[in-house]
Amino acid sequence: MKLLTLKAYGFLAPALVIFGIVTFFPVLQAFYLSFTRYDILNPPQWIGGANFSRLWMDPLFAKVLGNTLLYLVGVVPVLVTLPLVLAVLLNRAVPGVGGFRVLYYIPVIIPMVVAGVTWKWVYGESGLINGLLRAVFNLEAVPWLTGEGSLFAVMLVTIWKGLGYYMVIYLAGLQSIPAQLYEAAALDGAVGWRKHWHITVPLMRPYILLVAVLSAISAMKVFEEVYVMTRGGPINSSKTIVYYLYEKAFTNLELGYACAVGVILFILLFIFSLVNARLGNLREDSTFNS
Amino acid sequence: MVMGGALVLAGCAKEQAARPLEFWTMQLKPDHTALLEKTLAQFTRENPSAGAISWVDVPWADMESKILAATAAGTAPDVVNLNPQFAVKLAQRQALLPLDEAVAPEAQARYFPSLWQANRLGGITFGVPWYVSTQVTIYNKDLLKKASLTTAPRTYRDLQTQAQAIRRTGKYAFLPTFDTAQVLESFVKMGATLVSPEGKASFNSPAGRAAAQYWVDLYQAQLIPRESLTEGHRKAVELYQAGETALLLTGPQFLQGIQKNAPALAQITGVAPQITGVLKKTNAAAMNLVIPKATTRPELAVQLALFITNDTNQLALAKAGNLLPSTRQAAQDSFFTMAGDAATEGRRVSAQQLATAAVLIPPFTNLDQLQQILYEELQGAMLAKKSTAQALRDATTRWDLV
Repeated sequence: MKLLTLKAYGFLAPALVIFGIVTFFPVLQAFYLSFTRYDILNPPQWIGGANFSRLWMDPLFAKVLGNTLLYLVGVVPVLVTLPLVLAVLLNRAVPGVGGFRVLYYIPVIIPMVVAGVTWKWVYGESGLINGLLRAVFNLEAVPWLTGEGSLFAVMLVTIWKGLGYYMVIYLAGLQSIPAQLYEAAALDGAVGWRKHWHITVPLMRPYILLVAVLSAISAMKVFEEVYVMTRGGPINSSKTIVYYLYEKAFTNLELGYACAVGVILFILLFIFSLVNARLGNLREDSTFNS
Repeated sequence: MVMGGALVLAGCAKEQAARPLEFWTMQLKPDHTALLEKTLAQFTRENPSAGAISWVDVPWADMESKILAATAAGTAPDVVNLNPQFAVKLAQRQALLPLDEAVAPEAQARYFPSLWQANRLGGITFGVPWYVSTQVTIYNKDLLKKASLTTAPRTYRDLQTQAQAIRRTGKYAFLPTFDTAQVLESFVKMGATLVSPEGKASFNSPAGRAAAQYWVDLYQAQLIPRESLTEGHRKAVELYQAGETALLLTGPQFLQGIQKNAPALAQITGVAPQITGVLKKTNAAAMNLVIPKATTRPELAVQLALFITNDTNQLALAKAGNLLPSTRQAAQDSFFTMAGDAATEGRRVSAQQLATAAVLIPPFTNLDQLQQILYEELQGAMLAKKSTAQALRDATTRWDLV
C-alpha cells in the first residue's frame, strides 16, 4: 500500500474509531437487540423474528406508520417548495433583505421545547388563534391539538421551524447561478416566472434533491414536536414511529421490540434515500441529454 | 509484573471498600439541601463505616431514564427515591432488593400499614415508604362565589353539578389529569375493581361503566377543557394559577407553589377534603426509598433507608416541605393540626385524611399499561369515536392480551 494511502488512513483513524464506537456499534447492537426480548435490566434473550411478527400484527404500529407517512406527505412538499420561493424573493440586493433573512431564520434557532410550548399556547382553547376566531368571526374554539386532526397542527410547527433552514440552503444554491444566464434569458424574452422555471429550477435540482432528502428523513424521525405538543394523543392520532419507539423502549421497557421498530424505520429511510438519489440521477442525466 | 498486578488489585479492593454509599433523590434540591445534608451527615456519624454519603438529586422528569441507565450499566446507586408506580417496574424485573427479611418486623410496624403494603408486589416488599401526600381539593373562593356555590365539592356527583354552575360563568371547574392515576383512582373510588386476583380485567362492571360514563359526560358536555386529552398535571396547576379553573385536585404541597407564583390567588384559595365516590375512600400517594439489587453494601443501604424515613427525619422533612410522614408516630405531631393560611390548612386537611387513606391502586404487574389502555379507550369514547360500553370492552380485550 502506498505511503500516501497509509497516511490518509492514519489521519482518518481517530474519527473512524469514534464514529465506530458511537454510531456503528450502537446500530449493529440495535439490529441484534431487535431479535431479542430485552428490558434493559436483565440480559437480552434471543427470540428470533418474534418482534417482527408481532409488529406485523400490531394495529398501533400500522396506525403510527400511517401517521408518519401522512406527516411525510404533508410536510416534505411544502418544505421543498416554500423555502425555494422565499429564497428567490430574498435573493435580491434590496434594502432590508438581510433583516428578512434573519427573521425567517429565527425559528430555526429556537429550541423545539420552547417553540412547542409557545405553539401549544397559540393553539390552546383560549389561545391566540381561537381568541381571534372568536373575536372576529364569533366562532367556537377549534380543537387544534385536542381533536383528531392534531397531526396537521404539529405539521405546521415543523414547517414553520424548518422554513429558514432550507431557505438558507437554497440561497447558497441561488447565489451560485451566474447572473449572465438571467440576463441572456431576458434578452431572449423570458420574464417573470418563466425565467425561474427555465433557469432557477433546473440549476437548483441538486439543492432541491438535498432538501427533499433532508426534510423527508427529518419528517420520518419526527419526535420532539409530538412529545412536547401532544404526546401522541388524543387516542394516538398524532403518534409517529419514533414516538412509538420511545414509548415502547422507555415507558414499557420493551427494548427489543423498540429496536425492531427502529430497524423498520431504518429500512424505510434507506429505501427512501436510495429512491431519491436514483430519481436525482435520472433527472440530472435527462437534463444533460436534453 | 506480578507485584504490579497485585498492587493494582489491592488498590481496586481498597477503592471498593471505601466507595461511599450513593443516595439519589427526586428534585429535593435546593429547597431541602441543608436538611438532607444534615441528615446524611448524622447518619455518617452514627455509622462511620458508611463514609460520607454521596447524594445526587435528579430532576423528576429524568429519574426514570437515569435509574434505568445506571442499573443497566451496573452503576446503580445504593438507595433511590422513586414513586411506587415506577418502582414496581423495577421490582417486577427483579432489580430491587427484597426487604421483608432485611427490615425487622418492629421497624416495619412504624409505618402506616396501608403505605407499607403499597410497596409490595407478589408478596415481596420492594421499598420503604417515605413522604406522603393525600389529595385535597384546592378551590378559588371567588370563582365559586361567582357561580353561586357556597362549598367546595365533596363527591364526584357534587363535582359534576358544580362543574355545570362554574361553566356558566365562562370558566371551567377543573382539568382532570390523564398523565397521573387520578382518573384511574376515580374508578376505584366509584366502586369498580380494576383487575381480578388472577390479573384479568374486571373494570367492565356496572360500577366501571358508570365511572367511565362520568368522564365521557363531563367531556361531551364541555364541562372540562378539551386540553384534558393531551395535557396533564402541570397544565392543571397552570390553569388554576391563572384563574381559569376553580378547582385543583392535587396534593397540599402545591399550595406553596401557588403562594409563591400567585400570592393574590393564594389569599382567596381554600382547601377542602379529597373528592370521594360511593365508597367514601380516600387515596394516599407515597414516595418510597428502594435499594437496587446491585448495591455492594446492602446492609448499610437498608440502614440508610430506615434512618432517612425514621420519625425524626420524616417530621423534619414534612415541616420543611408541607408534606406528610409515612410513620404513625411522626404523623401525631401537633404540626399537622395547626390552623393558618392556605398551605397550613392544606396540610391539616391532608393529615386528617391520612389515618383512613389507603393506596387505592396497589402495585401490580404492568399497572402502567393498564392505565395507558384504559385512558386511550376512554378518550375514544370522550371523542365519540365509540360508545363507553365499547371502549370498556376494547380495553378489556387489550388488557387481557398484555
